[in-house]
Amino acid sequence: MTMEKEQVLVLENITKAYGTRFSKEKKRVLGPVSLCVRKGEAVGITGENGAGKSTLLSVAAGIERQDAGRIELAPLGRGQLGYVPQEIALYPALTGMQNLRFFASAAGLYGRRRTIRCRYLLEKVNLEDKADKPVSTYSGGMQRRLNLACALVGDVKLLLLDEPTVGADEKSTEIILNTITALKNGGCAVLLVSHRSEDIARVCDRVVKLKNGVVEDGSR
Amino acid sequence: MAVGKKKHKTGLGQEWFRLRSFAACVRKDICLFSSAAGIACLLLPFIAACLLAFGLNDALAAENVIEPFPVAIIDRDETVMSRVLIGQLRRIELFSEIRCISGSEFDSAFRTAEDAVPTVDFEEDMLAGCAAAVTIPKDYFYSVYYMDEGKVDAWLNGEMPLESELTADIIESVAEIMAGERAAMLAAFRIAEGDEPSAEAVQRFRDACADAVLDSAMGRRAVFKDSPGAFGVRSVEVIREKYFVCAVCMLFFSVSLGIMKTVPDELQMGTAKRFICSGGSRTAFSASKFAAAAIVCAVGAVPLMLVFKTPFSARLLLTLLLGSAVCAELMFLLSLAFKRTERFMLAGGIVMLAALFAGGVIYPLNLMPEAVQKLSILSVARHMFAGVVPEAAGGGCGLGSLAAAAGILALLCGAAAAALGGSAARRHGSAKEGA
Repeated sequence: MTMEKEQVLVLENITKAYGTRFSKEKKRVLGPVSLCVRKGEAVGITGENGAGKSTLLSVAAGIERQDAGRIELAPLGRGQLGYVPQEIALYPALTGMQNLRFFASAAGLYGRRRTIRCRYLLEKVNLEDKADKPVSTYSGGMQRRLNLACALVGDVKLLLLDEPTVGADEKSTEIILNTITALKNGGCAVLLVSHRSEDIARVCDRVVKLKNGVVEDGSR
Repeated sequence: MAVGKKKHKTGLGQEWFRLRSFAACVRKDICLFSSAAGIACLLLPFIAACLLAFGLNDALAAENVIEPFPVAIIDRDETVMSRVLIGQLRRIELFSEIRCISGSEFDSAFRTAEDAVPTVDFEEDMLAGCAAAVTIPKDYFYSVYYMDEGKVDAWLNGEMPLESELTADIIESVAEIMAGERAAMLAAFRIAEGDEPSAEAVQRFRDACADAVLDSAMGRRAVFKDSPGAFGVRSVEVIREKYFVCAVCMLFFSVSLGIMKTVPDELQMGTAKRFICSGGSRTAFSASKFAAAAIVCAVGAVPLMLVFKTPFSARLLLTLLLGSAVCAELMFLLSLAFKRTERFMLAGGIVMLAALFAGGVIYPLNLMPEAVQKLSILSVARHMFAGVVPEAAGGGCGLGSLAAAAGILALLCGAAAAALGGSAARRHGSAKEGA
């Protein structure tokens, strides 16, 4: 599969297997899976527990290396790949602003530019009044919103999300989905993993359903 | 196919980014450390140090601790052998000074008999500050050669009861050893040669045994050598330095524990992966922890030096730098072995206590079981003590060992840090193929 002009992410025949430390045998959890995500498009990945959704996202984000297959990314600068893990990947002892500033520094933002960007994101996810409070004092929904905001510190062109609304209240879910939709409409490519069909239906243009690590139904 | 081209700034721009990324990570680590638990990590060694320094003042009082003291030797024999013996006495650490007075000098200081009370001038000039004055009588080594009993007189200074008592004990011990060896040699000679030995046999016996007894008497310097340990004497300075090392080790371990305790959570929660995925440097993420530990340790070490009045020197600075590096590296490697922070903290606490006890900075090492004494070679506290007070540590360890340990652990930490965050995040548009 060759990369077309509008394609941002191409996964071709991705396979991944896990084994135990003392066993030579590995259990295949993913693959072969092929899909692509275009600019301004949101692709949803759904399926049962253990279908390989999170594994596919980790491989796409580069956190894990695939055993076989090919991944192609459009040219992305620092901070243009946003990743929202399923866990709340934040520092509970730090404030919301401190968390954002730290991840913004990884994206290459400093000084006044970083401050402006962090304040903008906090407003976007409706957390500006909690900016100077430790994350440990946030509710689950607030932590989810901040989790998303921390992935958007850079000028994100490709956004990978793994269950972004799990444990979030209705208001937080609304804010998160609205933010993702706005990004998609702004030209960002989105790959969303979720088992909530209503979220997928609201945000995604295409849906890929995984079963036992392979695509059961959906367009590529 | 669109092949990605690198958009990142190269050269100075890249370096500047790495430096800022590193600074952001250091700031983050110090912020995380500056919680209530972190302040406790910083205060605990300081409180313990104050307790050691002030609460044990009584134990360090003059009546309980002996400083090296001067002893006077009145040499009436004035032979090569007596001068050799005096030379060997000078090497004993317990005696700060051996004031050698010849028999004629001594006699001229007395108006009447040699056992009369010395004049005030003599006391002030020659015996001032001496714990004892030991007389080597005339022809003493002649009597040793002929296996006769030679008596040694000692005048003890009543104003220095502990020191003079100690000196008297040492002299009596050596005299008893010599008498015992003389009796054993005589008995062996009589058994071998009978009751009427020949003159030649007697001559040979005297030549051989006098040398042996003299060697034994002078070789008993090993008793003197260990006299500080044998008699429980410790220099005040050595005790103070030992407690300083104890407090500093506690500080280094506590701070390293406090800094590295975030590692298990960062790996489990995914903040490390998120940072790397966002474009951050994996090296900066790991190295910042050591830098943060070094900064906090430096802040904590200065007041400890003031409390213990430790004189600053290049050797001390190097010892502290290497010691803090080893502690941080140990804790970093330990943090990677645990998935939960609580377990890491427990394991780290055990490692700290083991290092302090096995290092001999809380209890004397020679009071520990033999297994602990052998394992002490692995204790950073022992090597730090050797680095600060090399002459009191028994040699064989110190700065060299610390540097070697720091280097080896640094390599291990580098290898472990390279695996942090999983495989490298793909940030450029190049195609990647799997195995």
